[in-house]
Amino acid sequence: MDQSFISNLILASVRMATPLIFLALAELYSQRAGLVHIGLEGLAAIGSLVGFLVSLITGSPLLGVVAGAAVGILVNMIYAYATIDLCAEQTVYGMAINIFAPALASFIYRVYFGAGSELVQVSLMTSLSSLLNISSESFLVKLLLDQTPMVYLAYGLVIFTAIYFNKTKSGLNFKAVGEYPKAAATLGINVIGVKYGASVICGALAGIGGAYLTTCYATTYTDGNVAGRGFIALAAVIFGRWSAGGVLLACLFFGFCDALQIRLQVSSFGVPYQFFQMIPYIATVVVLAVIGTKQAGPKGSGKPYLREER
Amino acid sequence: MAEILRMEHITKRFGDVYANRDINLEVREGEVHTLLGENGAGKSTLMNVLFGLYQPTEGDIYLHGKKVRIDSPAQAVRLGIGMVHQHFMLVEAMTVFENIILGDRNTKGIFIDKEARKKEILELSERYGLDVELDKPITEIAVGAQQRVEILKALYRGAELLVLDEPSAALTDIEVEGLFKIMQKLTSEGKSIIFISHKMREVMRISDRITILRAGETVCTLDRAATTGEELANLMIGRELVPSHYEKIEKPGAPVIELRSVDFQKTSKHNGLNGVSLTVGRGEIVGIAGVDGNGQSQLAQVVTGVLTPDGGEVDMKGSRVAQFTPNGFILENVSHIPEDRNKMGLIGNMSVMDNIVLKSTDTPEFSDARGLHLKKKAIRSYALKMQKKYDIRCASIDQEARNLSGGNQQKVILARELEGQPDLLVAVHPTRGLDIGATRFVHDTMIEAREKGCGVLLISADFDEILEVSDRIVVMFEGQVMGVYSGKNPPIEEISLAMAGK
Amino acid sequence: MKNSGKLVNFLVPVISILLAFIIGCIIMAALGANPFTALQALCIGAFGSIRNVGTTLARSTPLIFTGLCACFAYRCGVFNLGGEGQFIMGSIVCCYIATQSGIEGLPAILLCLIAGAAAGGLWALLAGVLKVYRGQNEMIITIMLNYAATLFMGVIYTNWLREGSVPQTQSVPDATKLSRLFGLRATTAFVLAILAGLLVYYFLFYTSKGFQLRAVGLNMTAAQFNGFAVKKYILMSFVVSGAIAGLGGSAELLGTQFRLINGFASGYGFDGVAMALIGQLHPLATILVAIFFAALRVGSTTMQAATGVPTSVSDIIQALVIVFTVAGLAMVKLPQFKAAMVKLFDKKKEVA
Repeated sequence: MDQSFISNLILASVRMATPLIFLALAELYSQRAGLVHIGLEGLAAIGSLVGFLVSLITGSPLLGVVAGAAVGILVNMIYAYATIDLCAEQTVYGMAINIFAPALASFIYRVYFGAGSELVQVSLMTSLSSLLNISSESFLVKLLLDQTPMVYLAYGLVIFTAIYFNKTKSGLNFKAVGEYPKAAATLGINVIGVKYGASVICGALAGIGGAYLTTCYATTYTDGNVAGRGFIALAAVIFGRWSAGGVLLACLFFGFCDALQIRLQVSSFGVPYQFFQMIPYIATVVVLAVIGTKQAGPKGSGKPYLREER
Repeated sequence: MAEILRMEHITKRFGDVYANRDINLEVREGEVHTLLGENGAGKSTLMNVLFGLYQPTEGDIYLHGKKVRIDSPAQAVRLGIGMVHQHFMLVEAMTVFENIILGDRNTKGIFIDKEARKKEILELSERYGLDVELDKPITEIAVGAQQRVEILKALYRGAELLVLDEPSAALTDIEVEGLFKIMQKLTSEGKSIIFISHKMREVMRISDRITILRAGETVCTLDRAATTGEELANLMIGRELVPSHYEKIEKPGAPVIELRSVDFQKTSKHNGLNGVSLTVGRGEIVGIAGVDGNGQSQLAQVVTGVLTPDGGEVDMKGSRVAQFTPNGFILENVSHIPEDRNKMGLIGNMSVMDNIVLKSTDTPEFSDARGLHLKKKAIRSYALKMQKKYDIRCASIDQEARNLSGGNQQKVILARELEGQPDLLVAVHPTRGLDIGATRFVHDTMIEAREKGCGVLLISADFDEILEVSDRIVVMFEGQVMGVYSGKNPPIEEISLAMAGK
Repeated sequence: MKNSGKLVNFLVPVISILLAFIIGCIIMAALGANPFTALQALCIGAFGSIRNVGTTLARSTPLIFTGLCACFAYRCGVFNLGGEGQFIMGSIVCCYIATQSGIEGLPAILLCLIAGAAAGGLWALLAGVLKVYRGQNEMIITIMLNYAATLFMGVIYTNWLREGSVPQTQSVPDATKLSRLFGLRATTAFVLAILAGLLVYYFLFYTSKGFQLRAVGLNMTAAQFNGFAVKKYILMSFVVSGAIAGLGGSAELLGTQFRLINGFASGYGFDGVAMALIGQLHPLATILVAIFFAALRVGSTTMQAATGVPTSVSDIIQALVIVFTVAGLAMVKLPQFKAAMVKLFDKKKEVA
């Protein structure tokens, strides 16, 4: 293994980790408000399609990302209403979103492009270095500058999230809602409001995570392109112990697994490539198995919050 | 003294049930005003109305003579009402400091100004003698300290009127004394306190005035100086209080279960057992007295096979227990009335009928071929029989168990646990949250089981209940047995001291 | 009271289906098709002839299996999302035996079905062990195992059992194929699915073990306190639900698909979850729901040919049904809703 193999691997890890970071942060905000969301896979799917369509129509990947966020919020409001107001079981409703949103995405795609299976492609978001007109083969320059703005956004959001939950009053209140909503309510915190706020953030981030796949990673939309990232993000939140920094490390690890499998596929060794493709999924199972039973996480997670309860 | 709060003609109805009916309450500045009443008398409902958690169906609230509408806890806090709930409203994953400043609206800025806030809190805590360690997580401080955090939380939000909901329930006697000192300090500084309790001794010790509630209605308001404990008790219950009316057994039969130096998570003060030895004989009721959280739950779970002890020996009917599984103990004819009937006792989403036969569907009485085919008719007729025998009031035996009242839920469990003539009955807080009628029914049923030769281990935080039915009384403190006393003419003073660890 | 509860449980999915169809019609109209013509074509496509009915039943067969898989697991409180992976593992083992063992005919069929069920059960057991002994979230694990199974199937049809230049496996020998019912597309696999449903129904509601399994699913702590071997039941629910899916995988391979190929079983897992949830975890209701959605899919092909509305509108309708049903079922449990219903009934009584 030469140096370029390793440096390419690292560069690819960062790229592959980015959509996971968006999705895992989406999950983090949702869970911190007491909403376990297993429907991110679906939100990302619809975000990915809408991102693709909008960037195709407008020619601007950035607008695609914005549209992905918007549709993520929209669809997640269904989840929010059902779980917050109707007190539907969160896992069951997350599953409903996982069935609904990809079906919608696939339907819109079929309607828009008709029965013809002509492959339509969009141009991807340009990297910072090409915006600034810097071209260099140096690894550091590539790592720091040869990235799309979305990568910087992802890392910026991680820092913002860490500060928000640890240093601000609002972040403290937010966490209290996920830990003990009744106590939060007695202190005058608007529990329902925080939960809806969390759902807006979650929907937006999940939509962006999906849109990243069609605006920065692959040039076209295909059904199933989220490929389990919504669930891997869920694992990343557990692995990252519900903290922004931990989640980042977990996402980098899973991103690394993804990058590694692509690199190994290229180098082949005569092993069927599907075995390499399994790496991220198997790694997720192994990581969860190794962490073991010590699951912490917000105490109020998964439970409905009824106001006038007897 | 000027009036701070007046609640007039408060009525709160849930469906067809009146939780509060035409209640009047007036609190003056600088007084400790006690709300006295049994479980279910409507105290908590009234306070939830005051705190904006419930909206009254009828009635008005006046603060400092001005009519107010309290539609949320936030509004109550803004009006200077602070509440310390019986079950603390503390976020366990956070520190004392974070809990106190949570939801803060008084200060500007986005970030938490730790130094400034800490200074303010320390000033308050010194002024009222509420010492707490600000940087400790809630899980690491004692119950008494958690209560001080709750009070501090209310004061930090500018509370003028403090509601303390059964604050002494989880405290030892010494801690209660400390609490009373704080309460006196608070009233001397002009704060007013509503004290909710049903413990006569404490009420007589700390109150200025007392309002008695019974069955959702106000009975009367009295000056402490002009009344006696007996009068209060009679007013609270609505009839004369009679001392124990059960005969106490002094010579039990052969031991059913015997524990010798049983340990479980020895070092844990609140959730462990440390060298516990005790015996329950046939035909006797052994009452475990003690403040909640001194190892009673763990004791109950060891003698029903839910937990496996770390050390020591347990003999069941003379032979050593090798394996601790709930099923093994059930096969040994051990019955269990668990402490949390909804969580541990009943399958809430199953019918009353299913819950009655829960443990016995494998028996030939209810199924053919070892459970391969359920005899649904036999199950139904048996459940109907039990419904009558145990007076379970429900719309039908097909009703889901979770929709029953607490008393009727407990009767479902009694029907299941006692019908098989157990050798040992482990009853944990069997009357918690029940009204007088249901409590009496539970006690009668336990005595009846005792008469049939069943050994009963009763665990209760309600000292009066322990005194009422126990033939022997064992006191537990921090996972240890502090002493064993006769249930006939028990030395109450001595037992109280033992419960506080002395 | 009991009857009104049952009525509500029946009405919620029915109203959800109606709502979903109304929205479906609006979408069709928006696409320029006449919704009534489209629905008519849909019905004819699904039930218009005996042949079409046969196709519908054939299409419903795998959905019934994965639906029962989900249904069984959730009854024990286990959120097994791995029906697809277990289905695939069953079909892989089945494919291997059918094409490689040299055995043909009925013995091969029986062997294939049993081995397929065993493979599905073992694949699910892997997730079960991780949940019970490592406290892991079974949803994530089973999803990850789905991807692993799908990729493993890829290895099979692109490499190990590949036949010729097309990435697909050899076909099951004719003698080992399941026989057709009355010459229709539906095979004995459908009969097998119905039998499995009846068995699950009997087990859950007429045996002591099934009763205890449901108790574990509804309240694990209470079940433990009442002496049930909770871990055993959870593991059992993984194995049995996985075996049902694995059996389905075998039956689908021997009855309909005959070879493994890209896209085999794709989406069946989540479809099964949808069927079970709409059927409110009742095995027989799950079967009905599965047949209904199979009809929708079969019919939508005819609809597309007749009106140009794309077939995926049926997926949208299915998705809407689940979104409405789950929300509706939650809504009727709300205290506010119950209070409103009580008022409504009281008024009716007063009038009467």
